[in-house]
Amino acid sequence: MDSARNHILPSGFVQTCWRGIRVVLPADWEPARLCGPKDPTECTFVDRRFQRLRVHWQKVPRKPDLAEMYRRKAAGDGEGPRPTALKGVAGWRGLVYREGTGYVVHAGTFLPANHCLVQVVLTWPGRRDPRLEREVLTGIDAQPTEGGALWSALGLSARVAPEMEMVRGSSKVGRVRWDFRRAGRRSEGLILERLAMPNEFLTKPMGQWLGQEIPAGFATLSERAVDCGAAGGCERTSRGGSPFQRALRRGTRRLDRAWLCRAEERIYRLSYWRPATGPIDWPECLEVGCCGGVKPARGHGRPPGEAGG
Amino acid sequence: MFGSKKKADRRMAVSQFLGAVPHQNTAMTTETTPGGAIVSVPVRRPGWLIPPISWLLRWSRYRKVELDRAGTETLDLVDGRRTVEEIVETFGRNHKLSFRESQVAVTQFLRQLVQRGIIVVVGMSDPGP
Repeated sequence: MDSARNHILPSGFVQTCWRGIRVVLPADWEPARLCGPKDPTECTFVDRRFQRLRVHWQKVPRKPDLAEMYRRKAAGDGEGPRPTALKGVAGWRGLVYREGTGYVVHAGTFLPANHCLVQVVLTWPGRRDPRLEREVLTGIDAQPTEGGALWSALGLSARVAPEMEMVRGSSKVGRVRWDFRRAGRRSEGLILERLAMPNEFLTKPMGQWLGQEIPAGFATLSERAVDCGAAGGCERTSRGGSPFQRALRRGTRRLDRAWLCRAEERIYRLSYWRPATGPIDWPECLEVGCCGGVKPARGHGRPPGEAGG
Repeated sequence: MFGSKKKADRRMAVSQFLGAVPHQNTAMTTETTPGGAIVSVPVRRPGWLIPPISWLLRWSRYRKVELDRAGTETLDLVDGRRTVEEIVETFGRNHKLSFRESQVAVTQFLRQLVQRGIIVVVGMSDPGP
């Protein structure tokens, strides 16, 4: 997946795919805020000192008249320096304002692939760089959905079934975690996590560390070593629910996998669970961007002695 | 966004903090432990702590702070020459963190050290854009 992820990106650029949109930006413009499930769809990117880009997007029933939209905005600005029209970026309309020693660009476009109106505020603290501005604006596109929805931010990148909705995302120091639930079936979930500073987090052997990340009430059925690209890892199958729930076929099966990527010096952890009394397997299109892409092999989630299904 | 006074102030604060130089408290002592270090900082005896109150309340002349390995490493980077920005860069390079990941961790930690009297941050030169 990494090759698919990066081959179209200019050198020194990274992409962020988030809630229906893809943004390709210089590597030192990092996400400062990524919207949650109930927030307005908006992301903010900063460099070391300044906010550089704010992207806001929303679904619209039809293609808006962007030229008219920004003409009205310029007319409504009242007194003060008059903005100039943004030029030279295909599909984009906008206004350029002189602010202090820098510039602020307000621009918008329509993405027909997902019927989104995208509006951005791009900040130039000093001189404006028209080439970079063009690359940033043309790099904003609909989130790729071939082979599953692509999610990519803060170093974590994964393809997940489109039916899985992200319900929570957190980014603590060195620890990025995304929680997904299947739409209309909240008892099925997926967690993707990427941890930096393995020497700090991984104070025990991987199997023991993985065990402590599994919530109480799950009994381990099997544990085995797995191959995760260039890195070895371990996988644990566990079963949750009381004997009474299991008798009613309402138990939960859970798969957990973790590995240490030596190249990135990151720990990856995947967890998947769903109501099941029999075997459980990883979702078909799940793929995590590490060392060329790790796709958890299916057909290994059943404990020894159980029939496949 | 760019022209509002509130935002301009905040922008300057970020630039100033990154350009500032933290210094260790010269009166502090450090004791290395397997998990990091214990830092002791002398504290002034409060004026209200006089007999008979001082007979009842225990008071230590030192405030002790236990640091983990990452904290000890960050404190070691505070040498009175490196700016906050250089400390953030070095810490990020050592742990393969992005600048922002490292910045969040290091600046939070430095602020805690300032509150505990372990370091002071001197100089607010604004390197500008």
